[in-house]
Parts: sequence; C-alpha cells; structure tokens
Amino acid sequence: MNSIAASEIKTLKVSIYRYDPLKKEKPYMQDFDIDIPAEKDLMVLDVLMLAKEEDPSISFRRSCREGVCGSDGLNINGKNGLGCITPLSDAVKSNKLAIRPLPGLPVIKDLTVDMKQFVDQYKKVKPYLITDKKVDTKQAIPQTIQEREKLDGLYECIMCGCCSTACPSFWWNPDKFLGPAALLQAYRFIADSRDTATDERLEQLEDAFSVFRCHGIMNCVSVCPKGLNPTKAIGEIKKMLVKRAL
Amino acid sequence: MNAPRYLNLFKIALPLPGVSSILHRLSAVAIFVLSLPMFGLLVFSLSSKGNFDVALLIFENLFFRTLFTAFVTAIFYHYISGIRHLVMDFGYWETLRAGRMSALATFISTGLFFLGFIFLTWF
Repeated sequence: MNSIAASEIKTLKVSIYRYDPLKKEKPYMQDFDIDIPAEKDLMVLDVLMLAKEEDPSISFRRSCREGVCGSDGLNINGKNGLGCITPLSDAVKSNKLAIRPLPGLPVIKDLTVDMKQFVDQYKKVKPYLITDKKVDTKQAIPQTIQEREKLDGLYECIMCGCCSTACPSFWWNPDKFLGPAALLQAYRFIADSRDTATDERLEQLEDAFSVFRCHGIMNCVSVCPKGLNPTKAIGEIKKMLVKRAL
Repeated sequence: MNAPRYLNLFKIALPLPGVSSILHRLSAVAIFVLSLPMFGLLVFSLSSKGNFDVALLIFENLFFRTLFTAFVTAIFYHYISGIRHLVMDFGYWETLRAGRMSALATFISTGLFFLGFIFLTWF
C-alpha cells in the first residue's frame, strides 16, 4: 500500500463481528478503517485480509479465493455470500462494510461457524448414487444427453452454506428442516436417471418438516454464489411427493 | 453448546418474496385477532333492530373504522398472497425475478385495494 499515492487511496469503514470463546465477553462489532486502492474493486476477502494485518487475531475461513471451495461464506452487509467473489462495488453501502458470520449456526470464533448442523442435514439425503443394478465400477454408467441435462443447476453446489443459513425455516428448525442445500442435493439424485432409490428418497422426505417447511421466500436463490435455484428443486420434490400421495 | 449464534433479524436482508411471506403470516395473525370483535359486532347487529342501529353508530367511530379497514385489507392481502403461493406450488414463478415481480404485484394490488376501500367507505 505504501507505493500507492495518497490520492489513490480511500478509507473504508469496516465493522467485523468478534467473538472469542476463551474470553468471557459477548459477541461485539469491532470497527476498522481500512485503506484500499480507490480505482480497484477489491473483494470482501481482500478487505478481511487487510483487517487481519491490523489485528491478526481475527478468525475466518478461506482457501481457494476464487469461489470454488466454499470456505468463506459470510454475512456481508446483511446478505450471505462468498467473501472471495463478492466485490466491494456490490457489497459496500455508504462506504460501510459490516461482516458477520453465517446466520443461525454456532460461532466458534469471530467469523468461523460450526457447520455440523448443516453437514448433518446434508448426510441425511444420502448424497451419493444408489443403484440396484449391477455396476461395473471400471465403466461409466451411460446417460442420454437429455437425462444428463436434468442435472444442470443441481450438481454445481459447492456446499458453502450461504443458502441454508439465509433460510428462516432452517434457523428455527435446523435439525428437522433439511435446508435448501441438502434439498438441492436430494433432488440432484432423485432426478438422476442412474439412481434407482427414488422411492426410498421420497419416502424419507415425506414428513411435515424435511421439505414442507420451505415457504418459498427465495432467500436461498437470492444469495447462492453459484446462481443456483434451490426453491425450484424443492418445488419439484414437493410435486413428486404430492403425486406419490395421490 | 453455549456458542452464540448470529441472528439479528433487523440486520439480515430478505428479498421481496421473503417480505411478502412475513406479511402473509402477519396478516393471518391480524385476521385471527380482529375476527373476534368483527364477528362479535356482526352477531350483535343481527340480534335486534335496536342493536343494528347501535352497530351502525359503532361503525361511525374512527377507531373502529380503522380496525375494520385493517381487517378487510389483511383479508385481501392474505387471499392474494395465498394465491401467489398456490401458483408457486404448481411450479410457476419459481425464479428470483418472477418471485420478486409476483411479490411486488401482491403489494401493489393490496395498496390499490386499501386506497379503493378507503375511498368507497370512508367518504
């Protein structure tokens, strides 16, 4: 930053959620004045790295820094997203940036949350291919182009947790309602022509909570960094469950 | 686990369909709460000619008239928003853009109904 002329630098007001389980303090917001290049559109993760230079005790997850690993899911100025692919031009309002952890999950430290509840729900939908046919594991199971196309928009999920932690139904019932991420995966295998466990999968979802707690508020669609539509997948599951019941 | 959970509902952004869904629930609560005085007055007004005249006088009261307008507007919003949900259950309006537009349509139609109702019954 020293090599940049002062006129090319602007100061961003950044507020970061802090919580340390070793201190007997409630969570609080810590303010930083972060100097950023005026002409460059940095990502939120870049700003977090700059803040960490000022205070190395800030804790957050990050890995690939290009929206592939899904590690740095955060609540950025009220909206969930990946820090590494959310540009400041999209996130900052009135030169202020508030960064908080993903809502609803237990906070381990600062911006790092315990994803266990999220992963537990994911496991419940058996996110793997189940088939009763004899499979030669050395060979691919063929699909038609049309069958494969049905998986587009379903398989691309990177499990960042932005969608499920933006869903009020998941906040209130994180152990009963599966959440948009798990349900997107559930439909990904229900829609897969190679999977033969459709009936068992649907039977598992037939209670009042697993799927039907979704009320279509679409926050999952609004925040998904990969542009996926869990609401539509959940709608398809609901239709299949209704048809099955008739 | 005693770890805190971040959940400040005033700081978390919701898209229009989310606002629409919350209002759908709030309108249900309003209908439920206001049903008692409204149906109470209906039963009272039907019990005799004298009571009917008293009910008419109650309707002249600004506070009651405001309550009645809120009650009818809540019913309208709940009905329209319910139809929107039914359409979504049939697999339509499931994109974010369509969801936003349909939520906006429920707000605008309720606003127009509210203004029309005021115009027709208050003046």
